[in-house]
Amino acid sequence: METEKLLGMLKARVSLPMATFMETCTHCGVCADSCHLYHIAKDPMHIPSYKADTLRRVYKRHHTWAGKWLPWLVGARDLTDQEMDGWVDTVYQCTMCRRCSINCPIGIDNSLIIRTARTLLNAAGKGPATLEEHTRNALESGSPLKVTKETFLERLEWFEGEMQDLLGDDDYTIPVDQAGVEYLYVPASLEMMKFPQTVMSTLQLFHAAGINFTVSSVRYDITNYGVFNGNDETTRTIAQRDIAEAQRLGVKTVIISECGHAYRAMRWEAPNWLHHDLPFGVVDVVELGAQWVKEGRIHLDPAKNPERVTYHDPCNMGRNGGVFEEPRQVLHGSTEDFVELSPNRENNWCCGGGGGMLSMPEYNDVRLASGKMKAAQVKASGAQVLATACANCQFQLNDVMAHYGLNVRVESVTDLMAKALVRVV
Amino acid sequence: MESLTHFADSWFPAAAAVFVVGFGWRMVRLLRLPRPKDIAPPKGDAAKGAVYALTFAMLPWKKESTRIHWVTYTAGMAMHLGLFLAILYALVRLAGWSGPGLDMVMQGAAPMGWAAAFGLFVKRIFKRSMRAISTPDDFVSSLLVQGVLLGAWLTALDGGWWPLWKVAAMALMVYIPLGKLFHMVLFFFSRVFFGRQFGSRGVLRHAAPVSY
Ligand code: SF4
Ligand code: SF4
Repeated sequence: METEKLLGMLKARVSLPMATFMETCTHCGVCADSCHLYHIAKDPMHIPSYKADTLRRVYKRHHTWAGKWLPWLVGARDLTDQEMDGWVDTVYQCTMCRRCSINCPIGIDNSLIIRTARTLLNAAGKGPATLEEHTRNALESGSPLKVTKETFLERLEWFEGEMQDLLGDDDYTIPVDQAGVEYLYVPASLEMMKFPQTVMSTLQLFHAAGINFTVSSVRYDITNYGVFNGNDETTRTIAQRDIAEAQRLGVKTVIISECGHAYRAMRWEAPNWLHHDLPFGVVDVVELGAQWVKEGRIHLDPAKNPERVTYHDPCNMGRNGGVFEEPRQVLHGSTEDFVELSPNRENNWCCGGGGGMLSMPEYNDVRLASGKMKAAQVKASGAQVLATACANCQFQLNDVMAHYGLNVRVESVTDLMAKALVRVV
Repeated sequence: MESLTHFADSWFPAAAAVFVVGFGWRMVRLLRLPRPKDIAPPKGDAAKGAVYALTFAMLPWKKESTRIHWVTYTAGMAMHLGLFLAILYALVRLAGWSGPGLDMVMQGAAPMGWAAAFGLFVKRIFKRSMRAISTPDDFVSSLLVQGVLLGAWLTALDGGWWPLWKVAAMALMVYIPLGKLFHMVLFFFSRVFFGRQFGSRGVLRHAAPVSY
């Protein structure tokens, strides 16, 4: 894409908050160690402000006096092919976890700048081919993992059979495309294919709570890869398809499965991308579980999970989504020996698998290395089970536990909740 | 010193005018930018988040980064405090007030601020990670701040240095609208945006209803 068009895209995204974050970094460097990537590698390319400076240099060149007249003074640079080539690794090796923002004395949102840098890289055709392929799959087939409607329906049949066995009820069915019900449940394809137990556990919770729900045979994957590749049009298109389906089915609430970025995208970002309120509520399955426990709608027996359990706050659920206490409420009710990781909640270390890292195998070494802090945290907790509320984190945490030789089982919060369910007759 | 006095007296109004116009212009440019409203239904309280971000969240023990880098944090605070007092001291002098008490405060605050600024300057030069993120603007800004602090110190020791200090202050004033020193105002914007978003999402616990 021509430079002028890219600069136009940048200009269109310059708001007061964006300009503030671009112009206020003092390069004090205290955020460096709060980034898991820098903390482990000590490579300057992983300093949050270094990552943000990629786009910041171009912003200054075109949007500040000093950058226009005295570019050498403020490190301003022209937007060239060569300049952008130098961004790719530092920008795509950011998990957009925002731990640096929490720790910046000024409160700079580096991840906002980094995502905008991805927007430009994507438009210039410079995004990693692997990530682009996943995004294309999501647009074309509805799933980044290319899960087709047929595969989805086959999986549902299997779940249905399992649930019938579990409940001893041959009449149990999973409602598909049922209009007018209260809830639409949309899983993530990573759960469907790699962690089917989580979907089973979710169905058990729904059954125990006695809710009126449906799944969709049209939108059966809640992920939104536009968040990762930086293409705003893709982001909006995917969100709009999900919204249209929820509207077609006339549901009151969309239940997001354990998928951190999907929750962040639909709960917090989509209304702002689309400039309108969503015509339904958005809730994560763990939030709902906590609500049902509180309402006495489901009952849990902690003795069913006697091992020591700890919890990893997915960055997109916690630091970026405000879901901190609900999983804890559920885990306190479902497990006998729950311990916290230190640090936790908004200070929790990113697992290293966010920002699309799982879809870019060329960064596998970096991804596993950056999980070192997480491994150390888990080891220090003495936990035998590591719970989390995001399939993406679950995948990464499995890899990290294996990589660092920790004999710790990774489970979803929903799985632990389902195991602890007390069936009231 | 006489020619310096003459230079400072003649050009001080011009420097002040550059500061006022440049500052105002940059502010107007920024304030004319769109301010997108967050329309996602809040979980916490954006306003409380902003207040928290500007107050308690700034306490050094509240952030892991400032706990780890407490030397840098303390130096930063000392430099900013020294600079703030130096500016206040200058305004007081310009208003025609002076006195040994004020001089004594400056004799303590200015060298403290300068030593801190100098220490951070040295760190920026010698630490690899700091060099990697620094631009000439970072060094120039530090030197200008150090100039003002040294000027204030010398003036507090001997009023005869006042013209030198005035020149240092003029350089600072002319530079503020251009470079990173403008964070003196944008800092507050940034903290408010940070606090509002994290507050609204219920991430800052002081701004969120705790359900458990
Ligand atoms: S992002 Fe914040 S903490 Fe990091 S260098 Fe910039 S001002 Fe300092
Ligand atoms: S958002 Fe996370 S991964 Fe990215 S620079 Fe900040 S701390 Fe590092």
